[in-house]
Amino acid sequence: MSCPSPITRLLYAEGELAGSELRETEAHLVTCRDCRARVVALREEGALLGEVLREEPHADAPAAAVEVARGVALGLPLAVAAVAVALAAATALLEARLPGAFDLLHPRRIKGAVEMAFDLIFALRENAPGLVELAFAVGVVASVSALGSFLVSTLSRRWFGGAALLALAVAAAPEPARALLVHHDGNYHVAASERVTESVFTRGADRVDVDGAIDGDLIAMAERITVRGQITGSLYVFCRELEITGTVGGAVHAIAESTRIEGTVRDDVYGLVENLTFTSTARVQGDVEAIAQETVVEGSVARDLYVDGDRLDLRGAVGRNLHSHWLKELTLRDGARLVGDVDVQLPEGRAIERAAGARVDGEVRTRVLPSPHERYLDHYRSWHFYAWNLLWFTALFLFGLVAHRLAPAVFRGRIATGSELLRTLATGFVALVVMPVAMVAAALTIVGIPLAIAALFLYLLVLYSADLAVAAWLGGLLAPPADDSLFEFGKSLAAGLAVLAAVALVPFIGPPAGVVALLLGIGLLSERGRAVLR
Amino acid sequence: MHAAQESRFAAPPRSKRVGPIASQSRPGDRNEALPAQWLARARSGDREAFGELAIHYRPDVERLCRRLLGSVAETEDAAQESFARAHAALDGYDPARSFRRWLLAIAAHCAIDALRRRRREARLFEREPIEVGAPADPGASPLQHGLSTELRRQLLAAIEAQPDLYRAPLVLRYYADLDYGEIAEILRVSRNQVATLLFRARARLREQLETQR
Repeated sequence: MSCPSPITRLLYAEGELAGSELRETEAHLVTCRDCRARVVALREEGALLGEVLREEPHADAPAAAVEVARGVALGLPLAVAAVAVALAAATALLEARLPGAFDLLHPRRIKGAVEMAFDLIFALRENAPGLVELAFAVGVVASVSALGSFLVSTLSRRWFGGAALLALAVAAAPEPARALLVHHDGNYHVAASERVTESVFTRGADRVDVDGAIDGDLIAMAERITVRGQITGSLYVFCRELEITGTVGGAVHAIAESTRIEGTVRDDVYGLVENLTFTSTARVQGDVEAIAQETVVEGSVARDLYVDGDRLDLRGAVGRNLHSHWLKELTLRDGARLVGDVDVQLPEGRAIERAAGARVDGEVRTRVLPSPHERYLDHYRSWHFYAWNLLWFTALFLFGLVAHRLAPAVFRGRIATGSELLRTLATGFVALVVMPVAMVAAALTIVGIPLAIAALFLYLLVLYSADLAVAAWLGGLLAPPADDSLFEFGKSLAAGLAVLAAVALVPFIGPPAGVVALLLGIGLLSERGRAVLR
Repeated sequence: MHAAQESRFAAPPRSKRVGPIASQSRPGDRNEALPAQWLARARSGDREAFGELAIHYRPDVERLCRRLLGSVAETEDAAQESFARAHAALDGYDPARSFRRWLLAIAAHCAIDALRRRRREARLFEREPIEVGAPADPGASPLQHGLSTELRRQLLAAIEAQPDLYRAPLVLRYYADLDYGEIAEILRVSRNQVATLLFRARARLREQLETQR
C-alpha cells in the first residue's frame, strides 16, 4: 500500500481521522517506519506550537514585520544623524585640541579601501586600458538600474512618495543643463575669447584646453589638460599631464602622471602625481599636500607644504612649515626660504642637503625613516595602536547597543553553510564596489545629488557597522543570547567583538582578516536590508 | 496523563489520539480541585464562584484573544465579552467536556467576531476560496522540538506575522486545543478546509523559519 497523503498524515497525527481512513492509515503505519517517524515529528511540532503560543506575549505584540519597519524607518535616519553629529563634534574637538590627530579618526578600513582602489585603477590603466572603460560602463549601467529598480519597488507602494519625487524631478530637470555642462567626446577647448558660465564635466576627451574662462568647476578625465585662462571654481582632474599657467580660483585636485603649475592657485593643491613641479612663477595661496615621486618647488606656497615621495627639491618660498613622513631625498637649494619648521623623516644615513643660501626661520628636525617592515611592526609596539583599537571596538559596542534598540532586525543576519558564506562575501564585495559607483552616477544629475548624499551616509554607516553585523553573528554562534533583552544581546555582541578585536591585533593576519570581516559584514547587512524591504 | 487528568473532572471528551504511537501530552488544562468546586457552585447559580473562575481562567482567555487579535484594547473587550457569554451560556455547558476548552471555544468565537468586525466583512474566511487538499510533496520536515530560544522567538514572531487566515486556525488548534470540527464551526468553513489551512500554515512556518536561519 502506498503512503497516505501528507494531509492525511497530519489528520492522523492530530487525531482527526475516523472510520475506514483511520483503519487504513493505522494498518499502513504498522509497516511503514518512515510514516511513523513523520507522524511523531508532526506531533512534536504540534506540541512545540502549543508551547510557543503559551509563552508570555511580547510587550507589544503586533506582527514582527511592523516592528522591523518602524525600527528601520525611525532608527536609520536617527542613527545616520547621530553618527553625523558625533563625527562632526569629534572632528571639531580633535582639530582644536590635537591638530593632526584627525588622521587617526579616519576609519582605517575606508582609507585602506581607497588606497586599494587607486592601486587597482593604476594597475589596470597600465596593463588593460580597455578594461577600465568597460568596468566603468558596466558599473554605471548596473548601479543606475539597481538604483532605479530599488526606487521603483519602494515607491510603487507609496504613490505619494513617487509623486513628490516626480515633482522634484520636474522642477529640477532644467537645472543640470544650466549648472553642469557635460562634454562627452572629442577634444574640449575653451577659446581665449570664450567664457563658459557653468561648471564643466568632461570625459573621454584626449585634450582639454582652457584658454578662456570657466565660471565654475572643471571636472575632467583626459590625456592632457592645460589651463592657460581662468577657472573660478576648483579643478578635479584625472589625467596623464596637467599644466596650469593661468589661474584657478579654488583648489586643485589632481591624479596625474605629471603636473606642472606655472600660474596661480588661490586655494590648496592636492596631488597624487609622479612628477609635481611648481615653477618660479607659481603661486599657491593655500597648502600643498601631495604624494609624488619627484617634487620641485621653485615658486611660492603661502602655507604648509606636506610632501611624501622619493625626492623633494625646494628653491622657492614656503609660508609655514614643511612636513614629510616619508622622503628619500630632500634638497634645500639657494633661494629656498621656509618661514616655519622643517620636520621630515629620511632613511637611515641620509641627511638634508642644504645649500648655504637656503633659509629656514624655524627649527629643523630630521628623524630616521624606519624600514617598511619596521614601520609595519612599529605600530604594534606603540600603545596608541591598542588604545585606538580599544576605543574603536568600545565605540562599536555602544553603537551596536543603540542600533539593536532601534532596529533589532538588522542583527538577525545568519550564515549557516559554506555556500552562504561565499554568497555573503560576494554580496559584500558587490555592494562595496557598486554603491560608490551608484553614488557618483546619481550625483551627476541635480536630482540625484540629495540621493547620492543620502546614499553616502548610508554607505559610511554600513562600512562602520559591518564589523557589528559580523560580531553579532559570531556572538550568536559563541554565546547565543538567551532572550531578546538588551543585556543578553550585549553579552553576545561583546563576545563577537572580542573575537574580532583579538584577530585584528595579530600582525600580518589582522589586516586581511579585517577586509574579510568588512566584506562579510556588508554582505550580511545588504541581505538583511533586502529581507526587511521585502 | 492528559486523559487521566481530564477524567478526574469528566470523561475524556472524545476518544482521540489513538494509534500505535503514544500521543504527546499537551499541558494547559488546569483541572485542579478548586476550579472544579467553583464550577459546580457557579452552575448552581453562585455568582461569586463564577467570579473566581473568571479570575482563574482570565490569563488563558486573554492570551488566546491576544494571539488572535494582536491589540491590547481589543483583547480586553473580547475577553470581557467571553466571560459575559460564558456566564449566560453556563446552563448549556456539558460537564462531560473540559471547562477550559469550552471557555476557550467561546473566547475564540468572540475574538474571531472582533476580527470580522475589524475586517468589516461578515465572512472573513470565505473571501478567498480555500482549495481543499495539499500537494503530495511532504515539503520541509517538521520543526524539531528542541529549538533554541532564539528560534522559538522567531517561530512565535512568524505565527504573529501570519495573515488572519492562517493565524486563527493555528491559535485555535494549538493554543485553545480545539478540534477540527470546533474550529470549522467558529471560522465558518468546512472541516477539510481547516485541515488544509493548518497544513499550509505549518508548511509556511517551516519555510519561513528555514529562510530566517
